[in-house]
Amino acid sequence: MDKMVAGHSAAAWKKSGIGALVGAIVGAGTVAGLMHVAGTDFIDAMGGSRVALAGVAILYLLMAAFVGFGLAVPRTGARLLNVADADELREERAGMGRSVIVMGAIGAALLALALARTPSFPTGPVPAQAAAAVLALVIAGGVAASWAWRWQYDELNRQLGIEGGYWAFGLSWIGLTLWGAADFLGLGPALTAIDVVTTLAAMMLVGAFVAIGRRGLMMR
Amino acid sequence: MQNRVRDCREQAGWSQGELARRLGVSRQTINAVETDKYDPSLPLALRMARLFGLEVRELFIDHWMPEDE
Repeated sequence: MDKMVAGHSAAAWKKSGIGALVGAIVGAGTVAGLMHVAGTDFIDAMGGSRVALAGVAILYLLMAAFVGFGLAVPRTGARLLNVADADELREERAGMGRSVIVMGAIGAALLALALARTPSFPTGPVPAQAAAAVLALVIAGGVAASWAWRWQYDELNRQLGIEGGYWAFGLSWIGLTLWGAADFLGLGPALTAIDVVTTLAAMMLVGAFVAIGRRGLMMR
Repeated sequence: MQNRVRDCREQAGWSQGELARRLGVSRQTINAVETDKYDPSLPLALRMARLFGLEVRELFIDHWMPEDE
C-alpha cells in the first residue's frame, strides 16, 4: 500500500513538474518573443508599470490558452494540466470552457489597458477609449456571467473561490498598504493607479494558486 | 477527514464521473473528497451516505471524542 502511495506521489510530482516546466518554457518564450517583436524602444516607452501589467495579462492569456488546448486535445492536455486524466477534461469541458472565456477576457482587457494610448505613452497602439470600452465590456460581461453561471459551479469550486478571494484580498491589502505607505512617506517607488490594477490582477492569480496548493490540489 | 467513499464507490462499480453525476457535483470534487483534500458540506455528505445506504458516521471517520467532564 505504501509503495502504491509513494508511486502515485512520484507520478504526481513528475506530472506537476512536466506541466510547470512546459508552462515556464512556453511563458518565457512567449514573453521573449513579444518583447523582441515590440522592440526595446517600445518597451522603454511603456515603462515598468505598463510592462508589469502586460506581463500579468500575458499570464492570464497563456493560462486560457493552455486550458483551451487541453480541452481541444484532451489526451495531451491531461499530461500538462492539473487533471486526473483525459476523461476529466471531456467531462468537465463546460466548466473549464467557462474558465477559458473568463481568463481570456481578463487577459485581453488587461493587455488593452497596458497598451492604451495616454499622454504618458503617446505611441500606445490601443486608443484609450477602446481600452476603456474593452475593460467595461469585460467587467459587465463578468458580472452577468457570474449571475448566469451561479448554479453551474459545485461546492468545491465555490469553496476554492472563497479561499482564493480571501488570500487575494489579504495579500493585496498587505502589498498595496505597504507600497502606498512607502510612497506616501517618500521611502519607496511611486504607487500609480495602474500598479493597483496590476497588483489586484496578479494577487487574484496568486490567491487562487495558494488556495489550490494549500488543499494539495496542485498535484493530481 | 478520513472516509470510505472510494471503497463504497468501487463496491458499487461506479467511476468517479458516474458518482459525480449521481450527486450533481464535479468529478474534481469526488476526487478531492476521496483523497482527503476536501471535506464535503453536510448536505453532500448526507447525500453520499444515502446513496451508499450508510450513516454519515459510517462513511466519514472522525476520531474526535468529547473530553471527560
